[in-house]
Amino acid sequence: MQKDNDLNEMNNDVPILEAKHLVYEYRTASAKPVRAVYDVSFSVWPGEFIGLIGHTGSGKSTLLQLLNALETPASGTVYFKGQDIFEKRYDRKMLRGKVGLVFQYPEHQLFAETVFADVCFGPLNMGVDRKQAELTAYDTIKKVGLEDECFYKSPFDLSGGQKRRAAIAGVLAMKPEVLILDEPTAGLDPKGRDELLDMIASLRDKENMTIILVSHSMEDVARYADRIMVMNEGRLILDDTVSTVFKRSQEIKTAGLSVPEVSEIVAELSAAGLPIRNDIFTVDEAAEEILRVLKEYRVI
Amino acid sequence: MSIVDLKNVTFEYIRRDNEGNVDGITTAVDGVSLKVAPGEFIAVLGANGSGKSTLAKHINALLFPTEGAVYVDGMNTADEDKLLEIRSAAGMIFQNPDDQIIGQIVEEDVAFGPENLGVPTDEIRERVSDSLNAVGMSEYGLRSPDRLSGGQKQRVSIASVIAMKPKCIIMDEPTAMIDPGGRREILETAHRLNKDEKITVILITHYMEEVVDADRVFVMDKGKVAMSGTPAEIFSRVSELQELRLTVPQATELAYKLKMAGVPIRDGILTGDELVNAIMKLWPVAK
Repeated sequence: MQKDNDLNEMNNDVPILEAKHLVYEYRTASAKPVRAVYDVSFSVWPGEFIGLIGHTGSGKSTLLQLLNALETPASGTVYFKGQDIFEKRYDRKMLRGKVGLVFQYPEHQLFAETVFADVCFGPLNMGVDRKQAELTAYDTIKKVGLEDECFYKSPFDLSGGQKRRAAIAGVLAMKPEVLILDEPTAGLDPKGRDELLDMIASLRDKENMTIILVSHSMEDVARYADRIMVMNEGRLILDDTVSTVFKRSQEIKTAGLSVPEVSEIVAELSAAGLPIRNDIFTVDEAAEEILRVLKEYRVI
Repeated sequence: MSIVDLKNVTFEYIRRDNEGNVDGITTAVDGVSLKVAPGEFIAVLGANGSGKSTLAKHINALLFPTEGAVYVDGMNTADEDKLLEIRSAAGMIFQNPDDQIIGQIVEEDVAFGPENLGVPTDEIRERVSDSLNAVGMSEYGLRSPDRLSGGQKQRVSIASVIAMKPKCIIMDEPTAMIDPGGRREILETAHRLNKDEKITVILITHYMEEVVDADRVFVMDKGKVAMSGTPAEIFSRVSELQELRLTVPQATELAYKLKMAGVPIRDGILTGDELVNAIMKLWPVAK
């Protein structure tokens, strides 16, 4: 236990993930390679919750695949806990367990006869013994909030939201330290979106898991992330706190994105003369601030 | 006459276990009756599994009711001779544009539908260019679809449906996978087709803010229509919507929270502008 703590503290001095001058190109039928990621550098610290946003084709999916070595950069590299993941002898199979990637519509990858067997597959494949794999699977399925009666159901008999959770459990069973999710809430109803994002936030809060969330919902990113990275045309154009990023609404819109609806409302109120703070990005904060102003000026 | 007329539609399917034995019967749509007038813009909301997609597939004759009847532009979907006509009258757009684009270049994809219908070549050309024009994609006719953004791909899918000259388009979560800029493009396209081309639109979505400009909203729950009305009527029932796993647009949610805290604000606020006006009305003018 003591040793673990020491290790963790040591690791806090080093970014858990670090991208240095990443460049990625792909080849097409025509001779010239096309550049999809241009000189991207950033550090991710243990326990951060990062929102990664960018329009379709902005390079964010490629970036995710570089972070867990599914793609190889043309130049530049990625460090996981200070080690170069593209070095020849680096154990990239281990890396893909430690930096878990949940693809879009991950439920399309469910295949086993039961949820339990599906979640056991990852650890077994990594060489974990059956007993340990089953214990891990049990914990993980509980953790993603699936009911006991789901354990031995076919994944195909689950609802949309349940299937998505089962698929995420499959990644969590590999005990990742960084969890990267590519639009995990696409197609879920509003309650399902909230439930899933609350579950992801609790992984960070309870286990200090590092989260990188790719989302097209600015509202969700504003509510859950502490830091936002914005990709546009293969470049990392903004990397800062939620409030600093969403204050630059013009750049955000030029990048094919938007700011949360509530931030626009607050900006309009401020422009109309209400003496209100304008660094507000969630409905709860906005309600609190509007009430404060209305009370202070004895309107209510 | 209604463009879509659902008469007491029920859809059941048999669940089977791994060995293929009957496990039970699921009623995905349960006695739904509703009518859509030509030119309406309809939104359908509902939790995952509430039956909204199953219902939508009935309008395009991809599914057929176990009980009841579905009429599209006066044609009964049970009438096999009319299937082609029904499917060209009611076109369908799905969630993932990659699932519905088949052409190597954009024009080819848009031409596929009318070609299949046996439309003469000259007219196909005209339809392709008109359809791409209608979705604002004229400049992309000769491009390869896989080099387009999500919003652009989805607009190509819409053009491909319009080229069949439908009277009605059913869009099943067309923006679920699309970035905010693309979402705006798709929504604007849907509203423009509705206004300019008088195409009836039935939009299924999980994004509440996409619903505020619809003429009418239906909320599905457990296969039934649980609520129906204008967006203002529906979104003033905040707690009922939450019970159905839904929510309201942020402007409406903020208005509701302020009202609960004692700010005198009217019900039925849907947009930021309406909320800003309502709050500024309370604000003493001259300082």
